[in-house]
Amino acid sequence: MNVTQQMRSRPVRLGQILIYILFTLLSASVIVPLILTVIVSFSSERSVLQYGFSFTPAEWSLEAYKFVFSDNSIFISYGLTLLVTLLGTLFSVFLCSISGFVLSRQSVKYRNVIAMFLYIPTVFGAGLIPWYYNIKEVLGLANTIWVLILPNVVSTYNIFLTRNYYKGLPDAITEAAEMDGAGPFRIFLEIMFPLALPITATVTLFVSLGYWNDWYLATWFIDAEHKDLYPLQYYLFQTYQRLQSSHTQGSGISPTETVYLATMFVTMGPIILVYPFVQKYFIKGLTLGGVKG
Amino acid sequence: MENTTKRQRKKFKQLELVRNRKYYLMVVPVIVIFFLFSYLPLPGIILAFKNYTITGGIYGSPWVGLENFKVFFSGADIWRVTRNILLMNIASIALSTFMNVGGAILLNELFSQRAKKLFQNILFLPTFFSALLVAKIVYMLFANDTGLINSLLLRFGLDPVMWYDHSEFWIPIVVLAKCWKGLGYGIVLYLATISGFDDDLYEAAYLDGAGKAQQVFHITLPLMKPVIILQILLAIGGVFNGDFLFVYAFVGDHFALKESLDIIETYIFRTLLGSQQGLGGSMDYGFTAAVGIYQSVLGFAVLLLSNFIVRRVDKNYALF
Repeated sequence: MNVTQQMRSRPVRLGQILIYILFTLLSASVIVPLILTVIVSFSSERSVLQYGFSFTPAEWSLEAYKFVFSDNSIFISYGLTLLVTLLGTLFSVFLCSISGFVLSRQSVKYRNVIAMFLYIPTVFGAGLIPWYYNIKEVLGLANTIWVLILPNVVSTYNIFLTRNYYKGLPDAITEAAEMDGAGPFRIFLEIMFPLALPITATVTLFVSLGYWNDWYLATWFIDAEHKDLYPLQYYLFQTYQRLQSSHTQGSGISPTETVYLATMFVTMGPIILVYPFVQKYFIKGLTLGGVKG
Repeated sequence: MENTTKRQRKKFKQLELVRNRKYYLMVVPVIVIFFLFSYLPLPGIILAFKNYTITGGIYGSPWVGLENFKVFFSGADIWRVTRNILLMNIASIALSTFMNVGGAILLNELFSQRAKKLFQNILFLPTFFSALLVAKIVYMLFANDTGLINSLLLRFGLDPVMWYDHSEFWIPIVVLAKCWKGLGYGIVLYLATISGFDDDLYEAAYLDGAGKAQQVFHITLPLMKPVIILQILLAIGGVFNGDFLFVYAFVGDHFALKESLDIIETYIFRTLLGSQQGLGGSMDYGFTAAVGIYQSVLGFAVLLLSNFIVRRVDKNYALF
């Protein structure tokens, strides 16, 4: 019997059981609220108001979902969010990869000057208001789809992360390709980019999640007259505000809480569905990204 | 002969930009985007020293010196928002460090690899939750009339607590929610650190008669110390940066919470754009820019300080 096995046969059972209990409770704190969200979204507003949020609603109902799908505004937001996520991720990953590749090349003399140029803004920011003023009044991007994509399209952190990965790839590959007369862009696209797939996958996942969940830009730059430019999360937020105010003004019971939770479930759906398939890449990417340089 | 080669080489060097022009062209888009979104706003700092008018714009509006700062510094809001942001950030740094490190150590002790992975995956899920979902989960628990906690209290014949009428509850609740959301992420990070430790150390300690607790306190924690310290220092660098969306989602239209949850970001937002939501914003670029500068200066000072300490601890992790 080796030492590790011996270590395990000791009466550490109790400890194991306690750890299991703790983590089962913690896991429950993640899963139970999700189940509650779904249950409440399928219960009637009246039973919520009368008996509170409950795992066993007095009355089941589809009225919240009927209300959510009663007009096409949620589909417009869905489409917009998909488009923004798709375009944003595409631009972002391409720009990060290509600049990460260039900055990793030893033969590019001014690479560190460029890196410094990208790095300085992370330390000296102009602040919130000049940033807002610039995008709204100088660039005039408010209330356009571009304002949801461009301000966050490249991050210094992601560029440096990819650069470090490219740095780790053998220089000889690029040099050999250069000897064969391949141009930098071809070397990047056909040789280096496929080799850097692990880091690209990680950046893609984090960037796309960022776009999908973002409503920061919309709160600053999209006004009430441009509802067709509401990303899902912002649509959700605005829906609740609207329902609340109509709830307090109107008479009788209009679905508020249930509609909000139904909308939330509809917006969250894709993430929960995709999660089991992608989470291992996130976790891998996290440990990969732990190295700074 | 030698002279010409030298000259040629010199010329060659000067032409590096030309020779590698294709490489440089490839980064032009990124440089343009950084210029537009990070460098172009810089002149806007002067807004803080102006009384902004729409007709005058950024350059034509009259200078007012430090007037905007005076207004902000003499008001009561500055103390409130600064206190809130500091309380919230310091409490969440402390609590999340404790929870993440403890969680990683305990999870690492599990024998079953499958259980370990399963717990890790479930706890990682909230990383993907939006601030709105977290705020709603908290609402379902704490709501005055319909919340689960008050339903339970009533069932046991106790008086319900009007959570949403009392602002003093809310910094702890928000901090707890934030740490809960970040727990899986933190555990994954620290587990990666622990898995790098040498198994021999533990076996030797075991043979010397060290129990599990002793192993944790005398091997695992000392080995984790540099990583923990760095994580804390890096977090302290951002102690004046609030999580706008998180707070914004929590406050929503519960105005009683504003007192304890209002942070610099939400204050700026409401002061500038509140008019859109009927909260009496003024589009006052000058005043809000001054508030922003106040935050930037504090943030920069703390960043310098924490970076100075990080350099001392481990040069590799210093930002600059």
